[in-house]
Amino acid sequence: MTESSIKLDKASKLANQKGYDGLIIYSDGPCVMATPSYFYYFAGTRPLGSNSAIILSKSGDRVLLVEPAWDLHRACKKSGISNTRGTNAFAPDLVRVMQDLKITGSVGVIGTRLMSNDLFSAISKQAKVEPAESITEEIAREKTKAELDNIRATAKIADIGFKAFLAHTKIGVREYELVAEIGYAMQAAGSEDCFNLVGSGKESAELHAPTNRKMEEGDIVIIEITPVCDGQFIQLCRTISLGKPSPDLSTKYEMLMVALKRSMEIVKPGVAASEMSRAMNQIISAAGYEKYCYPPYMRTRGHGLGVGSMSPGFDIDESTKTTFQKDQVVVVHPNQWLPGTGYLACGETVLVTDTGNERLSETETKLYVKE
Amino acid sequence: METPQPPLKRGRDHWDQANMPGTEFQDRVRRMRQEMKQNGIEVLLLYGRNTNEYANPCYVSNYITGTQRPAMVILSPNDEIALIFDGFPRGLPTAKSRTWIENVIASSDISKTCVEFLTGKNLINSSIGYAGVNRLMPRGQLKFMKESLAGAKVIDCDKMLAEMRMIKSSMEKGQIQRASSIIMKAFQAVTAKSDGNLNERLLIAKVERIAYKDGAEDVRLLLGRPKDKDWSLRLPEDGQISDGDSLILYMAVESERYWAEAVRTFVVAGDSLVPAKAEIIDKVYTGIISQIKPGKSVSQFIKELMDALKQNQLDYIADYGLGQGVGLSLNELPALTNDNQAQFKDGMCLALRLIVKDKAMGAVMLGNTMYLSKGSAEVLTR
Repeated sequence: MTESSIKLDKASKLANQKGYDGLIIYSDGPCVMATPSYFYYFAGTRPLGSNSAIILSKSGDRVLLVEPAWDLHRACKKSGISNTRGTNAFAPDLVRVMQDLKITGSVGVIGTRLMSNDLFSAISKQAKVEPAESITEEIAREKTKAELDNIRATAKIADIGFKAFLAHTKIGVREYELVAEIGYAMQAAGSEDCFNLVGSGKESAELHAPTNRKMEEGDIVIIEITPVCDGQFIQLCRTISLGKPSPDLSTKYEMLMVALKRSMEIVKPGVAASEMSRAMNQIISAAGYEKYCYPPYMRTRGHGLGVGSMSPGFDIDESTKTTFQKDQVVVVHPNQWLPGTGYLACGETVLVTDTGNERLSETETKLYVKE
Repeated sequence: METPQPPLKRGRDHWDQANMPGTEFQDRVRRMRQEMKQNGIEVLLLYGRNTNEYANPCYVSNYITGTQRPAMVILSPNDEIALIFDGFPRGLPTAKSRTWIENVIASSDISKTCVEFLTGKNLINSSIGYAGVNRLMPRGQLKFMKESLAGAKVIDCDKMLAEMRMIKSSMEKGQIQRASSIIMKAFQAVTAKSDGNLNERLLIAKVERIAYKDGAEDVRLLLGRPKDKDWSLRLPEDGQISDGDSLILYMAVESERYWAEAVRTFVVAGDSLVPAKAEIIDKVYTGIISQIKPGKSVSQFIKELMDALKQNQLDYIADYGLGQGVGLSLNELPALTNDNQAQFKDGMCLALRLIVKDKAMGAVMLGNTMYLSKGSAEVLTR
């Protein structure tokens, strides 16, 4: 029995307990960092087109519906769902599958937020739609060995991305050339995609998609390196000084490293996620930068990263209500805009363990200097 | 053609105003206001989101988010224009550097910001054109818009925008040409001798690196192994590529917002990829391009293509379609479908794909991006 099949059995059981006539697990295509990839989690394969769904009946039948139709054989093979159907008319065919599976009363839907108005209206005419994301949250809470192995393997790819960042950050290189090299290094190592943001200059306002800008002597180059493997993102935030760093930059980065260390110590099961954010803000505030810890300068201090669940949440700040739990993957980043240096990147992804957390990447946390 | 969306456009985000000056956008706005006037529309909302569907607001602003986040342009009376993007205020300098529009607003909920904007201008009960709003806006936000604009007369403008975007200016052609040249350079590099380790992931990673280093903003690559049973175009997997294999590569590149696409078939000779020799399909494909002429209907063209395939005893595979318009999206008008009565026009930019079964290679696929001008189609991905 495949992992996907086990997860779908669990989902089916939970859907039955909730009294649904069926369950739809929907994807609108992209596998993004900020939201769970529910479909990917259950199907075990990345959706290729802009509409895909797994439909489970009350009696345990399952159908995979994929658009475009030509993706049928790949999706069937990768998901292990023998009743896979290809379509070029998703909404009517999804309703047809619901009819075939006798889903008429109520249907739990995981991914309602991703549905277009037309698609939602079409299935609402067939059955009463009940948002059912909590089913995934319940199943995804516990990580399987394969998932944990993938988390650690993806972190190693982030390390490979960092090596490329360090090797290719040079005076005269353009931001987009640098990011192309980082992306290549990680893809060649097995990453299926990546979410890399960069910034360069004497005082960057933010991390952004790579621009045409050529790096210059004295630049502060910042990066968020985020490879994704099997839907799992892992993030590493680092800063390079191109040339001898100013005492101001060294002092400020040292302060961010202390904030990172202190906030990572907070991450353990049962502790409120807000405490991590508070610990970080306390260190930065004590250095005289309190107003820069909050909007409009800064907002989130970290976030969950996962395929089926983003818990403890995608925006961790001092108002976050959730607590850390074992097996959560959390990026802790005191990335900070500061007067004089601009935005600095400093952050690690950790895996919450029984007693604390495991730092996932091996790349040393420090201000890197290239002279 | 359908391709998986990336979490982020990984390539160069740059606005070269020599390639696409602000006056080009201002001219589009002027033409749009004429259409609005003719259709009794006081306000036009141009909504787009994600890495595929950004075209409507981008068409008049040049702005894209590069992620899944949305953006909206509001054209309101008295020549007012505003751009709202989903993001934080600290993103304003970057956003402003990507557009000629002066009134740029950061928002955490575009529907609310839009309603506030319209309320502030006393336009809440006016006639409002929606482009992309109904199709793309998240349901909750759309519901809020509907409730808040209950007194407005809403007019669907999706078709109006799609038809305006269908005919490309010479500036747009230039952008698509630049995207095309990135593809061709990458395809050329594919045929360079490999270092002996020829596998799917590495091949795709190398091709993407070439394209991104050449200035691509977004790259979509699919590959097919047509000798395999039940093969289809897909993302790379762990498979090795061996001597004698055949390989189809579909590549789409976006450069400074504009897309081009091309498809080529290769055979593996030793540790190199060599363009497949398929003279008959090449001849049919080249011949049919000469039949794309302004005034001819799409359906007539497809009939002629199917006749040519039949005459040459080529076994056409219909799964991937024949193509569509390309520009700010990989899915523009006209759709090359046999029920489309629309006529070809000068200024259209088309992707034309053709795939046929082949005894030796499993299948051969060929595709190009072309621009219609002065009565004929000019292939840009040559």
